[in-house]
Amino acid sequence: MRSLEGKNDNSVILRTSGLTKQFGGLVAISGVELGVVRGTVTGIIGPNGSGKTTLFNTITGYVRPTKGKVFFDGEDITGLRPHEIVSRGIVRTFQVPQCCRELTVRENIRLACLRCYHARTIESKIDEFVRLTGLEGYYDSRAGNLPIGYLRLLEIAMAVATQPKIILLDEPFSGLTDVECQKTSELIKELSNTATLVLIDHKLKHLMPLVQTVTVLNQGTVFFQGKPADVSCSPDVQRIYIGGEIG
Amino acid sequence: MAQGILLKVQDLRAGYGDAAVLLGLSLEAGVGEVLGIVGPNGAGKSTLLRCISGLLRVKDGSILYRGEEIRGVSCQERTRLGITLCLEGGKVLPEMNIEDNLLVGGYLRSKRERYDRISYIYTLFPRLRERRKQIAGTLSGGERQMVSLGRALMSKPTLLMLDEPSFGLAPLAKRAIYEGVRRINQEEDISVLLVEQDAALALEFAERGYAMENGRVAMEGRSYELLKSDLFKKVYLGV
Repeated sequence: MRSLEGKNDNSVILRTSGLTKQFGGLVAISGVELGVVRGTVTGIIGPNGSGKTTLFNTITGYVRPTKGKVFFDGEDITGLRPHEIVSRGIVRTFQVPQCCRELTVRENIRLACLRCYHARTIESKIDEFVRLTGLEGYYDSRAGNLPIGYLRLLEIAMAVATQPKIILLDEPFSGLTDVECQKTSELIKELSNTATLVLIDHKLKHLMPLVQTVTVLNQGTVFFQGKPADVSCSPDVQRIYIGGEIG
Repeated sequence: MAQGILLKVQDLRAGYGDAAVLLGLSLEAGVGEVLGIVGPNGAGKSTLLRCISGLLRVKDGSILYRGEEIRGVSCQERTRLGITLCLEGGKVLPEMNIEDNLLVGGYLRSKRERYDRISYIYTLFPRLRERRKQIAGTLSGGERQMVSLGRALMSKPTLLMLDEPSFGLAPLAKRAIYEGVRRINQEEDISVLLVEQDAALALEFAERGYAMENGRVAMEGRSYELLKSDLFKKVYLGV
C-alpha cells in the first residue's frame, strides 16, 4: 500500500484544484482540492447536500464546473464530455442505478463491453463480469424488474467492462442489507486490485474498513481529511455528520 | 397496540411477466400500528407495497382494507381510501419547487386543506419551509426524501407505506426523517408499513416485524423478540 506522504505527481492519479460548482445562487461545491493516490481506496463522506455527488458529477463531465480544474493522469480533463472521460479511464456508478431498464442483464453488460472488447471476446467477457458480480441467476432478467441491490451489481459489472483505471462508486451500499453489504465489500476489495477506487457512502461500518483515506465534505467544502481512525475520533466530524451515531 | 385490524393481506401472489415474486404472502396491520418489513433484495418487499397501493396487479390472494376487498379498486381510489405509498429513492418532480411538489400530493383536498396541511408538514420538516421555492431537482438526497415523504402525507393517509425512507441518507438526515414519521404516527394515529434494508433500524422503530424471504414471510413477531432471536440475527443482521 502506498502512503500519502512523499507523493510525487505520478502517484496522484486524480486531482481537483479549486473545483467549484454553482447552480444559480446555490453553491454546491466550492474550492475543492482533492488528490487521489494511485492504487488506493478513498472514502468521501458528509451530510446530505454537502456536495459529494456534485463532486463526482464535475469530475466525470456530467456537469461543467463553474471554476477550477480536474486533472487525470497529469492531463487537464476539465470540461470533457462524459464519454471522453470514460475513454480516459474514469468510470462512475450512480446513487440511483442508471441501467437500460428495458434490456436484460446480459444486454446491459454487452452494451458496456462494446467500447473495449472485440465481438469475438464479448460473450466470454460478459460471463466473466457476471461471475465477478454474482449475477449468474439473472442473465436474462429485464433490468427494470430487478431490485435495487442487483442493479447496483449490474452497474458495477458495466463499470468494470469499460476497463477503468479509476472507479467512482456513489453509495454502493445503499439499498443493501447488512449481509449484502458484506458481499459488496468483498467485491470492492477485488476491484481495488485492478483499479483505484473512490467511494461515497453513509454506511461507515462498511466503508471505513475498505479505505485508506477519508475526505469529509461539509457545505460544499473539504471539512476534514485523514485516515479512517482520525475521522472517527474527530469531534467536529461527529457534530456535523454522525451526531453521536456510528455506522 | 392496535384497536383493530386496518389491513389484512392473505396468500398474496404477484410478479412481473413470467417472474413470480410474491408466492403466497400473508400479513396484517393494526390501526395506528408501525410494522417493519425486512429481508434481502429480491424478497418481494417493494412488490408487496406496489400491490397494496394498486400500482401492480395481483395474480391471486386478497387485500382487505378495513374489512373490504380492494383488489379491484384503482390506485387513485385507494389514495382516496387513505392508502399512500412513498416510493423508494426520494422521487420528486425535479422541475417543480418544493411547495408545488407538496401541493401535487394534496390534489384530493380543498385548497384551504392543502395549505393547512403544508403548514403541518413544514413543522415536521422546517428545512422544507426554508427552501420552499427551491427547484426540487437541485435538492440533496435528504431534502428529496423529506419532500417525497411530505408529499405522501399531503393526502392525510390512514395507511402510510414507506419504501426505504433511509435510502442514501446521512446519519443526521436519517434521524430527521424517522423523527418525522414517529411524530405523524403519534399525532395522527397513522398506520405505517415500513420497508427497510436496514433490519436493525426498522425493528428499533416498529412494534412488530415481518422478515421476508423469496416472496413469503419467513419470520414474524414483536420487534424486540425478533431482535433477540439468534436465527434472525444471523440471517437478517449478519451477526
